[in-house]
Amino acid sequence: MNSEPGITILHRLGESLRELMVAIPMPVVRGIFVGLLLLLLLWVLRLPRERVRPPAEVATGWSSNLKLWAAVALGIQALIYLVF
Amino acid sequence: MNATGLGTLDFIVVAVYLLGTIALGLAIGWKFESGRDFFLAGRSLPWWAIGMSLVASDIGGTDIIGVGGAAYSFGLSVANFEWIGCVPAMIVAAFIFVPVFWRTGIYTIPEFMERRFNAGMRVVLALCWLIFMACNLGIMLFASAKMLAVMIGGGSLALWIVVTALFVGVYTFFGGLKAVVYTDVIQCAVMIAGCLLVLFLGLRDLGGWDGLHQSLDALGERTDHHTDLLVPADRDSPFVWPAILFGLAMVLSPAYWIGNQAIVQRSLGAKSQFQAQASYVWGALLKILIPVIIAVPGIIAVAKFPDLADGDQAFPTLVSELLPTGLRGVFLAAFIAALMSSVDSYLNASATVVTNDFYLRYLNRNADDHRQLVVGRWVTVILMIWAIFFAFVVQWMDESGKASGIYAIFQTLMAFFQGPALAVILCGFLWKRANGIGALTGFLCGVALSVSLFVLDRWHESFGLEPLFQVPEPFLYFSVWAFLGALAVIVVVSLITRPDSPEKTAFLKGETTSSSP
Repeated sequence: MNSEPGITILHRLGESLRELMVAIPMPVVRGIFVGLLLLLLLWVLRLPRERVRPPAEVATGWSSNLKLWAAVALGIQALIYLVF
Repeated sequence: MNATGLGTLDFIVVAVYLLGTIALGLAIGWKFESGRDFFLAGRSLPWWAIGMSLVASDIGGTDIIGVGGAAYSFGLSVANFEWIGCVPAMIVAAFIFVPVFWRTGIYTIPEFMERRFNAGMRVVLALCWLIFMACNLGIMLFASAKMLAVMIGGGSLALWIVVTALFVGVYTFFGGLKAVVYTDVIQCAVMIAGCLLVLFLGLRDLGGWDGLHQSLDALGERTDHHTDLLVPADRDSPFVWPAILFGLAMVLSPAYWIGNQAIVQRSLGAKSQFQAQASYVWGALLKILIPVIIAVPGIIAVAKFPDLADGDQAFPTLVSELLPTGLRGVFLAAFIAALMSSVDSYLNASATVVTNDFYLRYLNRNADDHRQLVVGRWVTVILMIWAIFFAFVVQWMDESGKASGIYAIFQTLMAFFQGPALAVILCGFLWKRANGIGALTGFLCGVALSVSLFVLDRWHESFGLEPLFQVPEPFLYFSVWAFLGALAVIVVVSLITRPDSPEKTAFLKGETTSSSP
């Protein structure tokens, strides 16, 4: 096996991973970032009522639904990563 | 002459702000009767105050200057630390982790570790956090004093170290977590107002967003990618996209928002489980604004002053050029607010860990409420004295040229154990078969792995090796490998050893009171 001075198996592993990352086109990278945020948004939207609202005995309106505000935060994030 | 050209009116604004902060802290702490009041604010905090405190604590005075400086040098990519490096983790924490932490009535994250795993895991994690927070207090004091001396243009570093420590120490001593959170609310508002002012006047001066783009275009190749969030993997930058995605977004950020005592402690003091969750969601919404008011001024500085010798001069230069007398005082107050909000958080969190994870756990398990309050306050004093001492040590190292890279080393120190800590917390929550021996072994192996990678990379020439990583300050990569290493060891050791008793996981489901083991 060809061995270079100062290069270990860790270097080879790291270099292979680095080459893999460099080979990914930036539009695909952007898609990964936006896609992950959208997946998280989907998870938030599917959360059951008892995990996103105060207990039923506390009278609250639509603004107490944490799902809504979490979705707003993630939606803005996805938009930011789509544009910049 | 100071870097920001401050006048008498500016100093009056700052003095009013500081006296108001101290008065608020004293007023809050006067009525305290128990350790629960001091460490968890009597579980009385509203969501909006905790959310603002989360944001204020996360942004230190050095961050305002440092993030602005990094944006000046590297562009908008530094904003990843506030966006993908905060928002997703805060949302996940709000719906999965924070409700359980609040319900179980714990005071500290290490306490959670003992209830889920064993006492060894609690001690090791408490020690890691304590060493990091206590040393970081000294470094924050020194870094803040250094910047205060430049911005105010007078006074020795020693003077500013002691003055800052006394101001923060007094209201944290009296008011505990409640004073920390409510002063953070003011500090968050002042910080946002001060930085918004710089942003607004800077953009107006350049003719708006389009004017900023035109000015950057005129600078040519140097600023070609200054408004790009995502940096290609082969660029010579610490913020390349694989480091941001795998190191920051998937490891360091969740570890910070789920496992950092100084952060999570606020939500433990919430009025209800719902309010604790709401505070994290509110914090995430506020976080979206932070890069706009801190990083964008750094980019405005590139357009206006492209030849600054050091990126860290970007914010002070903008302030001195754009803001009139009086408003410069608002910015200085914002800067002081940012530095105080971080120091007070780490001071209170360190005192909570020492008192709960060491004193109450090993020295005096039967201490009554009043005793806990007294001990908490005295530990705060001792930690403040230690922080002043350590700040002087850092100053001595800085003046004798021995502090080279000390800030980066302490950033890296956090990366050493944050990845393994996240692996332990995730396994604790999501995998019933994870046991105490597996968690402790995995954590220690993860820390050992990240330290080994750090040593092999930093002193590679001594080992006759090429550098392991091709980016400067690769602390984001250490955390990824440490996380994966710890995770693998936890799984293997847990599977080949006996499972823990079922009660170790049963408490996750709905117990409502604290019962120290």
